[in-house]
Amino acid sequence: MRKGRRFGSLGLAGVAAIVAAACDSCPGANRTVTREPVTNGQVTRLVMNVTGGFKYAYSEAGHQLEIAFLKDTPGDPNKGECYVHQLGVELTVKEGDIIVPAAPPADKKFDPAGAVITFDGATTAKPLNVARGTRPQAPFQPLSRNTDADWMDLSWVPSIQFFMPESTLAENWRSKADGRVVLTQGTLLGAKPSDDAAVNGVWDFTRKSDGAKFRQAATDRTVYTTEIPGDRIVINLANAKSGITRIEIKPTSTSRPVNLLLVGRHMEAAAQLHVGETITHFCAFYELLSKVPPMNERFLPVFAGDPSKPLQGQPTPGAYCPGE
Amino acid sequence: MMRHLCCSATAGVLAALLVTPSVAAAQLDVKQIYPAPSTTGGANVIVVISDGYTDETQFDVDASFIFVTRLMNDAFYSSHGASFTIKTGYAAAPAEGVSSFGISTANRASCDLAPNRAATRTKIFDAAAEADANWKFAVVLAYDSVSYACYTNDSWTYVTAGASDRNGIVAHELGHQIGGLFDEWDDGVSPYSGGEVNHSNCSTHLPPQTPHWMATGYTQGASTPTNPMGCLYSVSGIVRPYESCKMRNYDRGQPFCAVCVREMEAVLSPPPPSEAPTPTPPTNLKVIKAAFRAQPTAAPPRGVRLLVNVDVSTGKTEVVAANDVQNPQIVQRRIGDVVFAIIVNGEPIATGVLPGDPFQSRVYNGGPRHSTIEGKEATVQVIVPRASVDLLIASPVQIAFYKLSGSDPEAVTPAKLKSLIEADKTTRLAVVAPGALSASLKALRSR
Repeated sequence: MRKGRRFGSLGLAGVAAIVAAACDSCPGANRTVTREPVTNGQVTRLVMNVTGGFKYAYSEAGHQLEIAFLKDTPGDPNKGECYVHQLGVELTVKEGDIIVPAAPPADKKFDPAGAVITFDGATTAKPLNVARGTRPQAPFQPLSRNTDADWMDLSWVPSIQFFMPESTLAENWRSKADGRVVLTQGTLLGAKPSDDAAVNGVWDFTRKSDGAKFRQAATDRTVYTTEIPGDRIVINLANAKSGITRIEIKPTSTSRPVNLLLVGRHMEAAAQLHVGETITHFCAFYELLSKVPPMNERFLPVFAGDPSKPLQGQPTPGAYCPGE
Repeated sequence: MMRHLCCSATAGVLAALLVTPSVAAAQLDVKQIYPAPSTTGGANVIVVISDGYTDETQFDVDASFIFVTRLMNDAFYSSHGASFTIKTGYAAAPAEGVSSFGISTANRASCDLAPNRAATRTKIFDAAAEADANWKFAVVLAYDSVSYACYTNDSWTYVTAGASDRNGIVAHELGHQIGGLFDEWDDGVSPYSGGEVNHSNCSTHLPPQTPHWMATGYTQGASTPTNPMGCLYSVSGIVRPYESCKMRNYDRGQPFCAVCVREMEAVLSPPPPSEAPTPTPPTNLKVIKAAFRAQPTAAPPRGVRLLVNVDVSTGKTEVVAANDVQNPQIVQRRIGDVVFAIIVNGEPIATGVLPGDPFQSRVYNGGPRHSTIEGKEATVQVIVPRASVDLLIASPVQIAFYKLSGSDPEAVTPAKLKSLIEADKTTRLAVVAPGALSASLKALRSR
């Protein structure tokens, strides 16, 4: 369990998993719920697949985990500064019947940019499980890598606090984000990377100033699951730039979940990344720290290939660079 | 709810048509997912076959999302919705994630998905035929959360469930499969170093020459192509028609450019082909004469769809599947450089142009860009119009494949092909020799 700071530095760091269920003493347990659902004992299962370069910020004190959408980082790359152009975030209903809005888009896709997203009926009084082990050690990748379950440990989502334990998030980090999803209950697990080549590849997170490095496999996917009282999932989107404020979704049957896709993307990378090349877009996550380090002090992922196949494998992380 | 069109309900009808019996491990549960099951869809039948799924409901959810919610809300596919029918075929895998088609994930980067190509494609084609005898585009949907898609040079597309996380992937991939379209990516570095290309959506005809699309004109009100440099992964030495297109940027709702639309429409709704007269069937085959007599004049046109594996390095061919089809569509517009000719008594009686370059595979592998894998082998669809399998078994029919040089935009009719051959503007790639077709069809029937 984390201790000390109010917010984890970029997220899940140090959260060795389970936040206890008995949360009377948890700060935030009495926070107002937007709408008291009429449940009749019914619950609706929610599954949200999250893919992309999101920032995960955990607050033990707040009993919540936030998945934040990054803003552009407007540095001048010609001066060696951090530059990342964000392409936006999509929230798509993969499975479920959209009740609100009454005339949803045909492709069931919403733009949540700018929004603070919460789920009606979700409460801090229930467990929030964010299973993260220790920093990966040799062989630096899951022994089996074929299924989502092989990647469930959130340590496969790279954490800056693994590399820089002293780092802390800036007090105003939320203002540097372009919206976020607030999770107060349920379970978040890592999942198999979206890039096939990244499944077997590992990365050397390297600091240019002194060559220090940490090796690990990395994934850009997580899966969030929870159960919400009532016959539907109600999503509140406060301050969304698109104007959407509320989405209500009923499952197609009582045995089926409501399934959401949350996808965030930034500017495209090179067509193929070769062994030894750096994903500079990772620099954006350091912009949210209270003390933003210079570029040469940031640990950035360098593709090290498939350890079992020397100098092979060419992932194309592109717009979906492994999430933080 | 979707209406089940279970294979058992249609098996009796299809059995009379199919030459290739199903060798799939299990019967497919077949459903129409587009348009609504109670309505009749278009002639361009996309068949989506499950692989690695053990939960049919999950397959239904994935297929519906990727191929209806995603694909059929793409601007092009939506506006051409009446052209399409989409069916799914489900059979439980031996275990979750285990392929029923012998597909391996070891060499995905090169779209080399099948250690035993022949066996895999046969199973896929058989499954497609079981789902719909008139299938036109076969897609395998695999239970795998990685985001991956690949159009093989065996005329089938592979998509993972994980590809559902990105809009536009399948729309783009089917651009390869339907229209033979090239990827328009450039890597920002490499000049083009391949041979002449001047079809589909890439051209090496730089000024003072002009790309083929400048001669064909447009009827969609599209602006004149600007021919920016960069196509086929190369940054220079080759141009594409417009700055933006789904074949360059698959994501973010990017539409197909007007040239790509035109190429795809040529396949989806081809004009009636120009043909030479059909040869007279042998008079000593009573069954064929009877078949012709039984054919009412108002019946929809029929033909035979052959799947032929062509190896251009050896000139060898193999007919891997064949079945009678209704409303066969044959494309004669110059949408590629490879054509087939149906030849009887030394004369081409029917011709068709294969879209794009059938010997290429295209890979989407989780990133923003695709890559192309050149091959010497491809499995292509050959349409023999106004024929039946019985007729082909009994007739001395030859199929020849040619590569055309130059970029003459005229439709490749039998007469045109003859003139191109006489003008030495063709290279014969391979032939299904007289008698070999008949023997292959007999072998398939007895399988």
